[in-house]
Amino acid sequence: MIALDHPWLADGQRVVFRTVLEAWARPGCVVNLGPWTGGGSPALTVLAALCDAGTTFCDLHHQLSKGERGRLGALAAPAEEAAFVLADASMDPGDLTLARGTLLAPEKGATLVLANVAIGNGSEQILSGPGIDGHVDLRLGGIHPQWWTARERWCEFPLGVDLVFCSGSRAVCLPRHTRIGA
Amino acid sequence: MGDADLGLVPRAELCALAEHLLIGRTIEHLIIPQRGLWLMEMIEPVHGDHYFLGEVPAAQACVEVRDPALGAVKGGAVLLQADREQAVAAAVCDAVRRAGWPGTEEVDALLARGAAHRAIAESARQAILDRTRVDFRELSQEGG
Repeated sequence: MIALDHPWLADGQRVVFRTVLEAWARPGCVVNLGPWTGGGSPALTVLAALCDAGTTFCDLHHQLSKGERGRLGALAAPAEEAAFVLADASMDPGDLTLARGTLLAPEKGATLVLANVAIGNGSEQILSGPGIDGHVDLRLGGIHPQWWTARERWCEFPLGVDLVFCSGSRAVCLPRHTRIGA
Repeated sequence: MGDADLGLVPRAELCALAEHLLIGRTIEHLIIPQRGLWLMEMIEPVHGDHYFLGEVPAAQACVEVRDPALGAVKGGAVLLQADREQAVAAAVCDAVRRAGWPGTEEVDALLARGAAHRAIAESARQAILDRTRVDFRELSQEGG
């Protein structure tokens, strides 16, 4: 068929963008992207709403098809330079380096979208910090433990990497300023 | 291929042909079809300076059409109309014509009709231009 479906429709992308913005403002709050995924992955839905020809993108574990990468419109870049990075949460990041921004331009820190996360299952994370009233208990499973180590290495506010965890049709955001642990 | 000529045929006919060409075939968008305003850059003829005439409505599409028996082929189109669906239809026609798949004759026929529309418009424009032509030699003789 000629017609495009979600997540490539502008109307849906606007809703997803607003939803992700809300999720970033309230770290640990799980949002539902189901109606706008078009039956695809929520990670692709998030990226379709955030990426355009003015952004750079790295598909670290080759999870997207060539057509999906083309439709995102973002320029391909190595992981250490990309504004948006897609990775498989179950894979070991090793000594992966991502853009952390600079003190003069902290907004240039990367956004890391981790796919295949089990939201609501797995080990409990206690989140606190801006946007959280007290603390939030969040269960995230299927994540290789090295991602948490890497996040500690990357994040030194205001520098750092913002994370989006995706699972099924849901997503949850973890900005660089959110603290993990008691 | 004459994207411009396909843009001159009735929209409904172009979209209907594209739908017909896709029977038994699948389409994948290689980029999101876009529509909007493009800055039109012109070159001033005396000094060759570049300048922007203004913005024109435009749409573009790039697709891959797959036929179970014949394989896959890419096509694209840029039209001076802000109509995504029309651009996609033109891109489908472009793909089929490039590959020479069944349906090429229908695309050629549509292109010929578009070219005829363009020829009529250019002829009318030329007639308007001809009326503005001034022969300075004759003016000089009358003055002398």
